[in-house]
Amino acid sequence: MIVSMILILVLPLLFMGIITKTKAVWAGRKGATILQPFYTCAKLLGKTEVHSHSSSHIFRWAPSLALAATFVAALLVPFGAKSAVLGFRGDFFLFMSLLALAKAVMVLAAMDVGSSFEGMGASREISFTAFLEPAFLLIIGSLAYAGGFDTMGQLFYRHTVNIHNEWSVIIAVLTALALFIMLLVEGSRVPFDDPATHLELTMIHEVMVLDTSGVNLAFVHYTAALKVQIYASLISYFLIPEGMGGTMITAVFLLCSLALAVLAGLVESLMPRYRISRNLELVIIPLSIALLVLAALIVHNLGGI
Amino acid sequence: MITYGIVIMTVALLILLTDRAKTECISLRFMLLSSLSAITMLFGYAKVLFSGQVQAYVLNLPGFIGLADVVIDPLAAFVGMIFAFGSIWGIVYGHFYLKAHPGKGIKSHLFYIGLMLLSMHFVLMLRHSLLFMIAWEMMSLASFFAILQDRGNKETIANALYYFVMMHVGAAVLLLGFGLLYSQSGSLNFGAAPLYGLAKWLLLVGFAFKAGFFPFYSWLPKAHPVAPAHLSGMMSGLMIKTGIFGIIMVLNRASWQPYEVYILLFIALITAFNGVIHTLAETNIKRALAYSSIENIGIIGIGLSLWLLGRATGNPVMATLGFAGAMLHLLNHSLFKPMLFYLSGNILVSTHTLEQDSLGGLSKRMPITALLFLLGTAAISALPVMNGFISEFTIFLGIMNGFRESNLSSTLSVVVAAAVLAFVSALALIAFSKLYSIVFSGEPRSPQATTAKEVPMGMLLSPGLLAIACLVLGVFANLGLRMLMPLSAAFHLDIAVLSSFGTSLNIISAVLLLLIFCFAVIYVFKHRVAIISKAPTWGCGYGKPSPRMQYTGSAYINPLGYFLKPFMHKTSDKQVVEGYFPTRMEYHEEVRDYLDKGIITNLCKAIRSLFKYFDGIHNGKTNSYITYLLLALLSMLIWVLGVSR
Repeated sequence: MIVSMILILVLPLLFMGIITKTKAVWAGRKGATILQPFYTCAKLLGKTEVHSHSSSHIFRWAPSLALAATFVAALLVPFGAKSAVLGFRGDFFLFMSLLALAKAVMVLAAMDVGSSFEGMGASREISFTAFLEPAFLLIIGSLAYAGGFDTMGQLFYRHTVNIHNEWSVIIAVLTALALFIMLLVEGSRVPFDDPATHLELTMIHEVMVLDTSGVNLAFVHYTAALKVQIYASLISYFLIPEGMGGTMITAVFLLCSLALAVLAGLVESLMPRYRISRNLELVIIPLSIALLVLAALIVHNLGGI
Repeated sequence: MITYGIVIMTVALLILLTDRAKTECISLRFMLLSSLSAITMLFGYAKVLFSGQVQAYVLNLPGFIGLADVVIDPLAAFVGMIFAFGSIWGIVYGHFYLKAHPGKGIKSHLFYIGLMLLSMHFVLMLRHSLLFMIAWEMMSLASFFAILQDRGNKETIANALYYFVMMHVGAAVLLLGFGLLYSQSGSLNFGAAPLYGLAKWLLLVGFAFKAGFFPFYSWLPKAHPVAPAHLSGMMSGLMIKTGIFGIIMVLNRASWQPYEVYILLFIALITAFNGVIHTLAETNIKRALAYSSIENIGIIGIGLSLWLLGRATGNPVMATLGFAGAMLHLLNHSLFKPMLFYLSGNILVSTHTLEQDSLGGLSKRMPITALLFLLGTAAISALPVMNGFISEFTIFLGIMNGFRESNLSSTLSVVVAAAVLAFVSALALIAFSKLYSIVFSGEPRSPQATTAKEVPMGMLLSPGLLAIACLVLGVFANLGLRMLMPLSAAFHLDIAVLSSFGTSLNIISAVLLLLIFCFAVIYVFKHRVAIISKAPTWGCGYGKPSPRMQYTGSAYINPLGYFLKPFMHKTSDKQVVEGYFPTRMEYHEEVRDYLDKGIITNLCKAIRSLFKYFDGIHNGKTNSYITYLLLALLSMLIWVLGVSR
């Protein structure tokens, strides 16, 4: 549990650092150290916050609530241990709702300053929810269908890729793909959005927090990183077998997170950003994959394949 | 005690009729008496619900009415508690609203509201089809007259008449159903009669008109915007639940084949989806809220369908959770929807408009209203800490427990329900974040919004208390479940499932308290650390931003609008810009409800053209009437002498 808590606090920013480092190495540069996000956050914590004249109370507390909600959501996800810190049957919906809460307050805070740039970002960010929420629900549904309904942590923990069982491979590979796309969308990474082009040139997340600064901005950065890391953790658990020892789990988990960060960095190096008007069409991919997996499972279970 | 409540209400109505005092005194007196009556009834219903003793009486009435059953069973007690609790805050808000927004004929308006509330309670108790229909009609008519408070407005009259007609079409179907039931069972008391065949479907359709299920919902978005805020709150939060009450009665009494349940589930899904699409696109606050009522009715319908499906396929966990979810959502919706309607009344009183695109920046001008609206937004979009989350959680848990079915059709229908419900709840979040941010955030878009001021305390009392109720039921969700326990026993649900579900709810309470604690710690820390300075919004270098440059509601939903184009039927009249320096341009856009504008309007046209034929006969000339008489006499003569002999 203590290991999980430490990982929840440290790993997200490290994940971001690795992505940036990968991109730099691929481009032939030396790049910033992987600890750079920590320095940025530390610097932001000491800065003065600038609030817009148009903003109201919601702008003041939204990043704190988003951080708290994402943190509690992370407690429902296994982080380098056998089980999550918290868990009960049906916690998947609490998890989804907490992430939705975090997103909703950030969107409301963006709309609060009355800037049309931020409105644009907010509108895009929240539109993605409409397709990602059903997708996540169906992913949980197909895992529950395959191995019985349980807490979210256990659903992912119990399901392991097993070469001798083709169904476990199908489920794991496709679900991991869907989750990876969700990671890229929710983290506003390339190909959905380019966080490297700064401020108003980005299309989704960075532009949404255009007026956020100081401590709030540090919170926002950490929250975004934590959200990405949550999806990465869920994916890693496909590679962790059920009977593994405690320290081994942590080791495999760390390796998987590292690999996913490198993968995300490679995607960013190799792919251009998609046209923003096509984004929503691509966001449907996880939903289609989840539907596909579930449909295949149902057909299999009823004796079709 | 319920009898006392009815007597007090009747006395309140009689006093209202004979009172000659000033309007304000009358209103205050009515508020106090009817609240007293509601509180009495609340305790009466609670006693029935928690003691588990069904109260049954038989009235011996003269003539062919005969013996009439009056029954207060757990379901009636549960819904009655909701009605009694909700009506207190509705009437209290109504008092202050009418004070701030005075109009003519307040006395008769209050009388009709009282009559509506009274007949709502009668609907719950009466099990004799004739008396039931009388109470049902009384409820519809009283609410119709109550809507007409602002009768100087043409739109009000037209929409109230629309409501009137729809309710009577529904009542006609209901009457047909009861008639069929009578011919099947031979008794006007329908409490014990088995329901089968066409009768159950007719009754279901009749009740669906009131509840607002697809395709009978079209009166809601018309009647609610023109009614005064307290009335729309009570109608949407409470009155349409009589429809749900009737539907549960029918569902419970009849036996259902799986394929029939699929039809019901499909209708519920369409209702929810259609409702939320229009909530998303609508620009009038109250109309958006009315459409969202349709969505929530759809969600309740999904829960009820899961209950039936679980019963039909032998899955007690899904049945229990589906029913519990539907009932919790019924309770929750009766708290947060009136609250949002009352707050929309505050906005109307303060700015004299309900169009989202001429509002904005209200959170600094009306801070308490804004905060309460934010809480309502969270509740209705099923975000944690508020109660809407709990009921949707219950329904989703029920769905998850139905995934591993052995037959294809039930599995598939549950999977489709899961996907659609998740989609709908995400769209609801988008719709309400749009509503809140366009109305309350940013800068005001019109002079009325600029000069808006917070309403008097009285108008914040009811929504505030309802918000607290929503918060309490959201954090301590077991309280709501405890209310459900006796009801579940009466519906033969699995109590073991519910008690293990209660444990989950306890854990949720703990997690939510943890969330609140984390938030408080982080916020206090931030408050200590951060130094705050003020500056204008960053306009990316542009120096002269104006409120009109803010993001609008239709822009906000534009990315989704692209996908939902087939469902959002938009009409717009564009005018081409002419000349080098165009001075004025108008653009009007409207999302049309294809059910209302397409089907119902065309149907009305067809009926009207049919009646045109009769119009020609009735031409006002005496000589032609004499000719008709002569013809009628002649034909009767022929009949009597020639044919019938």
